[in-house]
Amino acid sequence: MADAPLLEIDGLEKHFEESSNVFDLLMRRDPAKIQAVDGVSFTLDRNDSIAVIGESGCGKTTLLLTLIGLHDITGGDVVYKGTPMSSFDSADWKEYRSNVQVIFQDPFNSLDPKMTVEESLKEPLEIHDVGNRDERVRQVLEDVELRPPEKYLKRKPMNLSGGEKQRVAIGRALVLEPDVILADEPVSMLDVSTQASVLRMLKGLIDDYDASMIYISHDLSTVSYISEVVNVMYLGRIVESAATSRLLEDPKHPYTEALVSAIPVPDPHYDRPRTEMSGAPRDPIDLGEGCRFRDRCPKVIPPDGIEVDQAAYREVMAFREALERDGLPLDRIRESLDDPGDRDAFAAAIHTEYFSAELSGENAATVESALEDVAGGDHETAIETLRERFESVCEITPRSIEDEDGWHVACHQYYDHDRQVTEDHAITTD
Amino acid sequence: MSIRDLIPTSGAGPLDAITSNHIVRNFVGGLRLMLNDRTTAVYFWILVGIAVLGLVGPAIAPYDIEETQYHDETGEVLSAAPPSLDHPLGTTFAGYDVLSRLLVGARPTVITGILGGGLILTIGTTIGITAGYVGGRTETVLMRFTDFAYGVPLIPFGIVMITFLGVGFISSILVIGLILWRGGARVIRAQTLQIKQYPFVKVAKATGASRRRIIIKHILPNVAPMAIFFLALGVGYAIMLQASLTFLGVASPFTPSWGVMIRNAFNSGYMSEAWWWSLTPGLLIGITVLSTFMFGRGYEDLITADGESVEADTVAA
Amino acid sequence: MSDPLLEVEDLTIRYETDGGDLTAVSGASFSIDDGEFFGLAGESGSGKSTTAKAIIGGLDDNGRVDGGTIRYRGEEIQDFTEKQLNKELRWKEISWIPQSSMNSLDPLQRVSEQAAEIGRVHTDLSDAEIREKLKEMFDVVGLQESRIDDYPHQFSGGMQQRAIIALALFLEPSLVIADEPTTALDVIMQDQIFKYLDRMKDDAETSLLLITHDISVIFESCDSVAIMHASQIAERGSTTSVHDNPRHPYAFMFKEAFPDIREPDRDLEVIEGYPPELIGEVSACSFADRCPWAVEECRESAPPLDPVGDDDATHVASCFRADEAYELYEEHGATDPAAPEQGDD
Repeated sequence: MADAPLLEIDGLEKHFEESSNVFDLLMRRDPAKIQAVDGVSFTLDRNDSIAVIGESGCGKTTLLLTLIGLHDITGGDVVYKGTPMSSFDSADWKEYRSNVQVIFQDPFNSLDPKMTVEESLKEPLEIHDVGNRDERVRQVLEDVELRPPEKYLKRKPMNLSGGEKQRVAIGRALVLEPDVILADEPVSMLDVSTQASVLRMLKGLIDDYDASMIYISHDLSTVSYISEVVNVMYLGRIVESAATSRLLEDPKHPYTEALVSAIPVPDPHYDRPRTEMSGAPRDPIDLGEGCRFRDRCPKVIPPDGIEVDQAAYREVMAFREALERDGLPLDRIRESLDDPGDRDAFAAAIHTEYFSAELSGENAATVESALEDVAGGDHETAIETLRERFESVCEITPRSIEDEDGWHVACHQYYDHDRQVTEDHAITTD
Repeated sequence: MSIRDLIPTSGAGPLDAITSNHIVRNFVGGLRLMLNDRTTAVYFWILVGIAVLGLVGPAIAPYDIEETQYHDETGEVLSAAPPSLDHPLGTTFAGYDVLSRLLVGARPTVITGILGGGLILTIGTTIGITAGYVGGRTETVLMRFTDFAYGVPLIPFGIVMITFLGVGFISSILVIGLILWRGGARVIRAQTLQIKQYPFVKVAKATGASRRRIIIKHILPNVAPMAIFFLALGVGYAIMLQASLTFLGVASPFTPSWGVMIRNAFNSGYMSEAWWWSLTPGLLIGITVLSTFMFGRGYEDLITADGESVEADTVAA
Repeated sequence: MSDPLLEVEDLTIRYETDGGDLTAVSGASFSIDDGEFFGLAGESGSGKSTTAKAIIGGLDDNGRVDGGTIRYRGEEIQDFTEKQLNKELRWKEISWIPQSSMNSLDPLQRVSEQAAEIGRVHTDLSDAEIREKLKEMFDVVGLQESRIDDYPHQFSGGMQQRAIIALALFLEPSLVIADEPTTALDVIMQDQIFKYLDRMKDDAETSLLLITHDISVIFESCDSVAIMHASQIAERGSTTSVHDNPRHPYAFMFKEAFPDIREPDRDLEVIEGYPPELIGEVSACSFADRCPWAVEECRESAPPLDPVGDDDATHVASCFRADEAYELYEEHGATDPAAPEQGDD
């Protein structure tokens, strides 16, 4: 049935500018751009329940705040029932705001401590001048299993437990019978035994109220209870999107793989290997082109024509990344030397810091030459030398591939370059 | 069938609009609630007592405040006389009856407190919340204005203001109110910024609440505790500073507000000897400030807590 | 078999409150050997954090040990003064990894300076020796050695947590007490940290007392586990035996409340009610009001921690119906077919 999608997120971008300080103004430096959301696209149809999963810093919260209109869009668009948000007038906003509701993570601050449960639940109804308020409030309290409703109407948040507060917050999101509910980690701050029941209730309510949900979380282990589709987010972009069960069983993107394999398995007999990943996601500032995961990806793709051990190549890429972004801690390394003027020692120290795997032949020679240049202060030559030999296809922003089952992944491993490379040499975001 | 049956019960008359307003309901409900809590009720009654004093003080003062008192037997001026049966609070250096001055002085003091404290509270809270919530250029302008207010020295400013406002009791209070709101403004702005970040405000915004609604329904009740603190402080400052300003000619020094009494005692040099002269007005000012604060906070706590009884086994998760 | 490193016996801890003496821990007993990872699991209010704090002398002012003993290397330490704790135990023998890294590092001091301070107070090592040890530990936790002179704000959140772990380990304590060390962290970072904790166990035979509500982490990474409910230990034993053969209703229901990524569609168990707040002497099973299989006996006296009778001699459970509860659960779910009609739902 070709119904227009409820919500279509199309290449959505939300960039912030780092606040400029006096020096930036004096030097006339442009403030750094924080690319919190950097090209996110997906569709939400009626009755869909979609999850956006990612670690802290991936931009999922910014995405949520942009979707509820608390941040202005800086690029791309959000289309609600055919009308793009960028061209909303105040009537459109009013309709959007009554039909798209949000549930936040922190039960302790989600309700105004000065308002009773009844007042908190009535507020959305008052804002949109909806009638039958007493009845609706009563119904919603029943629906969130706070029974009997009379017992809860006049209570204030300080007299409710965390689980009860969160139920009221959920009720508040439902009271206007919205089309879309956005939930930001709604159960992560609740006790484990409460989490399961609240999740179950939420899922049931989404069905009963005929609503759609976007569920945002960092926890992959509970997502199967609430969403059919999972979008995995990394540094502002969706890297993989698939049906939940398929994603958990057979993750395709190296980041998803790392995420899924790091989930603890509650079984002493199961020997789960610890993660191979090191470091943490970069700051989403001045990210440039290319795959955002390439500085940590265990499967980063070496160029054809050279032979190199994957672990060693991984280190070379990490080093190149730091060098190109001017992120090498050269001062610190230099200071730790006995003789800061000794270039050879300096080069060796940098080597020790970044390389533990063995490199041989031409690869080793190239790296050595680059290290000497760096020790001598000539970064540009070093960058060029390394790029010439080690440039990876991952430095081109990957296009998202889709298969018939609706599985999307943005990773060059799955991209048939022979076919595409002549056509789109300068591939940019999808 | 009684008259009551003929009066329509549905339909929103103006009284209904007032009584169903959540702020009024809170206030009235709170008052009822508060009378159940003994401590807060005590402070309430103290404040009522002081207000009553302000009302009837002049009427019950035993002596004229500028009538020099003479010793019954010796005929000497009863200068700085300690408390006695005739003069339960003693006399001032000039021989005036302290008790009478205290009673008459209650009225100007109460007015100073209410007006001055009220001005400080209103201006401070309005500027603080507006700056904090609206942000942007408005915030910058308002905060620079607040910084400016910080820079203004009160006494010289007071002197300058008389030229515009003229000498007078009310002028002295206006001068205080127009400057001292600055502390409250800063703190309430900071609080507003904090509250703005809470999810419940974000939800209200996302649901489409107007700015006005959020400020009145969400921000104001949540900055109330801090505002009450500044109200109490404001009351105290106003009373004391009004006294200082009086001595600079901004107001008539003959109206014996409690602050003026203390000032007089101080200026006479007899403050430590004639302790009865300054102690009572001092104590009373202290009690006023304390009661304002304690009543305000107690009342606020009661509203926050709840009228509903709480089940014993509701344990916060 | 050498003596256990830490032995907690019949420990009872109470807090003085306006409403009476709140019993946070009641008659808890467990022991930890060298190189053993021990998990203390339970919901909030179970008493697990209180137990851990008592070991290191970090109870709040209104808390006190009302009974039982805590023995470290055979010596009783529950009555140690601050001075004794600082001189003999803290950082050197027993160290503490707190839950939130945010407030633990002094933002005004370099990490190396904080280490130096700790070393000076608790050991006789020279500053140079302390720096060496810190560098080694940074290496173990995957932080660059040259970063020991950085300020806390120069590290990201996850790195701060690792720096704290490095500080907790650099004096090579025999026992590390970690209170929800990875709860606030993402799953990949959590795994990274446990990788380093594993290394520490292999290299130095360090023991770990891990306090957490996340039973998955315990089952994966610990050798033994004790599950607490409202001041009482419900079940205790090796993680294998508690996992394979749980006996206490709270233990197996708690386990079933956690998702297992291998079975994403399994219905999660819901435990009704809340842990009660207990005043004074605890003379009943604290789980009775939430337990589908509770009988009169459960409310009359606190069940003793009795051996369960399987291959693991250390496997004990405190339940009068320990021999049948799990079987009933497997067959009938969270209801007791023999019981009279339960309340609604």
